[in-house]
Amino acid sequence: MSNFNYSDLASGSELHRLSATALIGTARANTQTPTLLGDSSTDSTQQEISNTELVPNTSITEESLLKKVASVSLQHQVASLALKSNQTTTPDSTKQTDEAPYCSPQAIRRLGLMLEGKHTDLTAEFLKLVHASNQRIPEVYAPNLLYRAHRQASLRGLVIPAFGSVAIKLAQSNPQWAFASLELDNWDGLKDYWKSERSANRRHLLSQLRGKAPAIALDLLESTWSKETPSAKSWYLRSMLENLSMADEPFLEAALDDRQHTVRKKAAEILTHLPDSRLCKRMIDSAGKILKLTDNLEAGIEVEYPPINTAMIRDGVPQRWDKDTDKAKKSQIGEMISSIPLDHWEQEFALAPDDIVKAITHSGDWYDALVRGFATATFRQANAVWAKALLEGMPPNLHINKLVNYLSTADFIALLDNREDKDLLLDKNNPKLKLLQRWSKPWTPELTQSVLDHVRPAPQLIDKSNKSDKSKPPPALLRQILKATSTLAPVQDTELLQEVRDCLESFKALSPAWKHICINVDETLAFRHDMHAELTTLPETISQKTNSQENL
Amino acid sequence: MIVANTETRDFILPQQTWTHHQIVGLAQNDYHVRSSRSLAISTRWKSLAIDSDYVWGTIELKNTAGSIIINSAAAQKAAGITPNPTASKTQTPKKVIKTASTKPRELIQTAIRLDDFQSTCTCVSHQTPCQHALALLLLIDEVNYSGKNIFDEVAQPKWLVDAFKDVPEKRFNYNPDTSAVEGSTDSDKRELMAQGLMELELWLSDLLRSGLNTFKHKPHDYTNPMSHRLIDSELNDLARDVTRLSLIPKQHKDWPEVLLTEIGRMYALIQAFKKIDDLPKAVQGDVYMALGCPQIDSSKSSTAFVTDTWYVMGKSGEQQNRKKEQRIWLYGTTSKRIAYIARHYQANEGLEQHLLTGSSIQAELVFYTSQYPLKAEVNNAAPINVSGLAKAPDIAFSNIAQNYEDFRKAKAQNPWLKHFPMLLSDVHPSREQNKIARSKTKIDIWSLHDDAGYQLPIVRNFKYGWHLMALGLSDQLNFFAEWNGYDLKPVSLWQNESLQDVTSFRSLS
Repeated sequence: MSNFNYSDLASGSELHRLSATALIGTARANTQTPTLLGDSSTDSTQQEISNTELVPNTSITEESLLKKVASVSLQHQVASLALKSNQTTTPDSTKQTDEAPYCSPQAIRRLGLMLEGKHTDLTAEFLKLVHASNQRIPEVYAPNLLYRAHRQASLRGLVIPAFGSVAIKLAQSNPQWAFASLELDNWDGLKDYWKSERSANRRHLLSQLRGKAPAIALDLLESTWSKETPSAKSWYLRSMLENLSMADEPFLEAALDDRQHTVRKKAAEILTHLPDSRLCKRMIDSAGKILKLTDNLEAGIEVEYPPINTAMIRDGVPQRWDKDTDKAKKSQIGEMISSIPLDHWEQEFALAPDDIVKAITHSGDWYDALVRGFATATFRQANAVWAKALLEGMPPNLHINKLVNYLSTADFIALLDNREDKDLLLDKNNPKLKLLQRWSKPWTPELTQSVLDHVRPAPQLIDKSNKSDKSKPPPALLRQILKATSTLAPVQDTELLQEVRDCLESFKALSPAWKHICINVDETLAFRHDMHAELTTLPETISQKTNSQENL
Repeated sequence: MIVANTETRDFILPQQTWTHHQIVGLAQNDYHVRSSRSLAISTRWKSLAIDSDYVWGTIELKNTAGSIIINSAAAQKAAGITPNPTASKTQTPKKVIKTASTKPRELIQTAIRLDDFQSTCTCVSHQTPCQHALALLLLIDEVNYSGKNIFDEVAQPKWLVDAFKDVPEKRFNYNPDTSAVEGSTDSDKRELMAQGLMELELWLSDLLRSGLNTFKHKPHDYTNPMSHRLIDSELNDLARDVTRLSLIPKQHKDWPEVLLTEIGRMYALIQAFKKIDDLPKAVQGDVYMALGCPQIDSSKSSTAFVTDTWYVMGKSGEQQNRKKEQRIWLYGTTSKRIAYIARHYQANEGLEQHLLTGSSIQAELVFYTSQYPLKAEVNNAAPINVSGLAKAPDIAFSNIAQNYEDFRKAKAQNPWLKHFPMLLSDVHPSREQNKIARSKTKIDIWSLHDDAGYQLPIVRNFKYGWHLMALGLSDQLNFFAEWNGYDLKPVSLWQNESLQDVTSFRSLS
């Protein structure tokens, strides 16, 4: 507390002098400084004796010091004045009048519940709604949300837009929250912040910057790259997937020569997301001819296993070991295909993706490797045409199912409708539910209806099957779909929501485990419904409504 | 059909009018709030019920107690677990967790007496109220907010009656007929006190002979023997002050001056006690109060008895070793007087929950004898009426200079005054960072300052500085705070026409 110094205060100076004696103790003070008691009168001879012959000065006894201290300390407390500060910070009197209105008290209370730990996972949805409805959150909630955003990168872009300008000022005054008010044109400031943060927080900062200014993020990463640990390097490379472009390619290419194989592997993987990268071109040169289409499409695709050289291993193809097996070969082929741009195969075979997919289904022993290779390439290159072709033309599997998010909702519903499997609803390998499990985008009303139609017969199916099934909890897959319903299903349409709730109601009777899950889903849906209602209604309308109810 | 909370409000629980902030203010810490919130889901409770006196419920505890870790091979064999045949004999057997799946889930029974917030629970928590009891209160709050009833109205179960059979009604413990009154300090007790003070004087002399710097490097429990000796002499408050001496070098930058001031204060007290009979009655009262045995002038003509509607401005307190002190600050709506009720508890004992910040109590307060009377007790013999949520009175807040002037005047009257109430208006928080010695860590030091340029430092480790700053950036703030002569402890904040505990920010931190 540098501002509050006793010696600066009225009557503090005497106390300060006494404390000098008290600090060393009267035993030592008498042998060293006999006049420490301030106004005590001593002559030079006495002082000399005290200093030279080490004779205690009888005037500085503990009792006399205590008496002096008692009187001075009481005087001091009564006589001292309030402290003056040299700070001139005052509240922002020029409050911006054009700022958005605060959310309704109901919405603010809901945020309070989330901050206390109820449905914390819905915070991002809440913040998005606040921003979309052109409202803002009271500033007192800013510290908590900024702390949370400091730990959770996905919230960083959402927190500040949900507050007014005051929250930006608050964020500027805490170095921990510098992420909220980054000055992208201040390179030195950014570099200092980057260097001051721990590895985990740097990752969050990198993710945040990749969204806004990928070039600056890359410069920051390059500035400390050589000093990073291998695990941190791998994490940073993963963050580069956001807004990845050819501007990042030289850096990633250089990372292929890193000392750590985990870093090299990750860099190679990320480079395959860039079809124009040197790695992809090298891979086309060395493995672009490994697939041969037989004359008859029905016969499928043949694979010519190529010689593996060191350049290919550098580019991410798994190394062969002495005890080589077909499995290793398949793994290598899969990796090669996943690194080659999909356009290459369309040109090579002069066929549309649908036709190539048909051919893949007739590729004998290499089928698994090809499916994995093409599905991974589609995923990395985010190719919607290939995604649709693979999903529609192939039997579902783990690699294919993860492509569902590249489909439009209409295509996805059509895909679901094509997979009739009502008898398999309770099966742990239900293909329709496995597709749904991978869908991470918000559900449209049509999709919700389709899901409802699919899961509604569950109680009848359980009734038909063995009676002991009733006591069991829902199958894991169905449980995941029910949980996804709570966070992804639309809640604005009251009629549709009622249908969902009716469906859940029919499940509740099955067993206590079913009931427990359904109640949780129901509760989350109700919470989200209320949240949307509170944030999409104008604050005035809600407060008027509440007032009128209270009057009633 | 799902309805938004704002659309229907057809059910309000009788007489429960606490705010969410008041309930959260009962929590002991942030974790307590979060654990209670996770339990405040009606569907997790097996039963929930309420009547005019109690709210109660039962909840199943997750059966984690049934899991055991079996380390030794012999024990694993005895438990019927086949050891790994490939493991060598010298190899330490792997830990095996066996879950007693047949053991029934434990049923937790929780109840709260609504009159005084006394709670009982069969859980193992030492906190009062425990997370289950707090969850019940949060559920009441939700019901009051949404208007959807979740509580059954049934007869009190036997376990509830049994549970509260031994819980005394924790009202106010002052009764003029039985409590300490002026002149009741008998000669034996005075002799005991004099002995304790004599030893303290000697101890203080020793301390100054060896020097404060030597004291600084003593272990933290160095003061304990002296403190215990004072407790033996029934000088409890002074004992606490002695224990606190060892904390001063760690808490204050100007610690030699602060320590010396405290030593001077104690020495003045010792000297005052030596001449106690020569002092005026009010000063005698201050001396006795500083020693830990406050006196009351119980004569009917006394001005110590003040009947009023007392508004609860906030709660403050501290824990030292295994003892807790709680101060409930009150503001007289008509008399405009400020008073506080002090309570002392053992560490595992629940604090007084009866009076929540923002509530009011219509009662007769009995002030302890003092030149500057602040400490008081509620007279149990007079009628008492507590209301959960009261309209805040017209509290006169003033600037820092005025509050400090009042403090100086109070200190001139009672030199041993330890907690002075400050009603601060139009202040804003500021922060500076201090580096901890021999460490890279920096700590935030908060202070309140006003437009006139005066400032008051806030206690170290204050957790809600950023929340105050967030509020203060857009507006001037009014506070109720405690000033101890060195630093300020914000107790409550004026928000929405009422005082709100600063600890209610804990749900946001």
